[in-house]
Amino acid sequence: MAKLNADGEEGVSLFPMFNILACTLGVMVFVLATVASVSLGADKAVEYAGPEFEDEMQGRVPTWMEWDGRTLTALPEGTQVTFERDLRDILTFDATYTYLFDQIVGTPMGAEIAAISGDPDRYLMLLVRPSGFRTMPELRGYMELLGIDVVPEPIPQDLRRIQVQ
Amino acid sequence: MYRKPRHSGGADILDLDSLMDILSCLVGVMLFLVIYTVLELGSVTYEASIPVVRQAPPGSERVVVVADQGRVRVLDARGPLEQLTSGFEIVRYEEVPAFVADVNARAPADWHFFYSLVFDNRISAFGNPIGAIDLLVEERPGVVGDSIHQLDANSRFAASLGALDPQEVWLSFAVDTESVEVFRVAREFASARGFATRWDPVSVDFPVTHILAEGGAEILLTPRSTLTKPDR
Repeated sequence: MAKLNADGEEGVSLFPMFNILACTLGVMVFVLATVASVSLGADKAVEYAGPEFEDEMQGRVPTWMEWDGRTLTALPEGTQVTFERDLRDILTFDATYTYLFDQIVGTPMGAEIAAISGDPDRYLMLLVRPSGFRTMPELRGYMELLGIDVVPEPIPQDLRRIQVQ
Repeated sequence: MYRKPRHSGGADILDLDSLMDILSCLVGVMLFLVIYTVLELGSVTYEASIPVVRQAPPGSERVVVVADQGRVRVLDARGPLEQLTSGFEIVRYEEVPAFVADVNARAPADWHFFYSLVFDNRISAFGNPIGAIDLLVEERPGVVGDSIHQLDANSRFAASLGALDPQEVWLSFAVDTESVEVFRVAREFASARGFATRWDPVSVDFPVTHILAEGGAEILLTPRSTLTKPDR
């Protein structure tokens, strides 16, 4: 706090004001960092809506899934199935589909896929991260083998929160 | 708030109390802004649009758009291929090397690529020698595609699309892992101009050698032509 000399000599100490200014500056830097992170989109959620079609697909209901090369996730429920093997490393498509079937059947994901397969009014909206690009043909081929129409859509690798309509 | 007792006869004293009040108030407002922003951050949502999915017009041809390393380039091999093969109906097997050398002198090219034919003697799956003519696509040195910031009405991509008719061609994007964002912008750009689009996850390593005998240019840079795994 500013203090006057005992003998009444007039004087002003600016030390407290510097403290306050330093504090203010710190808060402003914090505000700046926060606003910057918001503007850069850190931790943003991205909401995807099903595309419009110009043919008979319009009116059909999308079922959303996400593929990252290892894990297939149903959205928004979050049901997952993870494949330990690299699908590209399996030598033939027949063996790949057999492996996929063995991993999926009997799981909640298997039930979901069976439901889409048996419903002509549904299709699969597959959100694919770049890590899943290599093996997308295998997964897509499997779904199409089950009679499921697949509409793939690439999404950024670092997207953490996905919402679907 | 604590206030220092005012000096009784302090006509000449510089009093900083008011300044402190103002600064405290400012700090409080800024803290409120920070807390509000942080709370808002948790609910920020961006909507990602997926363009209208158009069916390719009947009889339309496929044109590849390479989206790799964060840039897009139109790879329309139809014209160069026509240029390379026009004027010839039937070429005898022993004349093929000379034919290839002849037509490569035509050196067709576009903004981004050089096109030529390559003759190759191969052994078939049954052990028989066969001759094959491949299409070789090479990058023009130093000529890169349009980045996401360059995709506007004055870009090469826009000019390339301007030379195409949406009723005669549809666009097949070959997208690598680094080009999701630029692909989305380029697709929206093309879709707004009436083009039907598809995309495939394809990593392209130039120069590209494409076997014309297995489907022609129609399967250039598709998973079918780039997968090493047997079909079945």
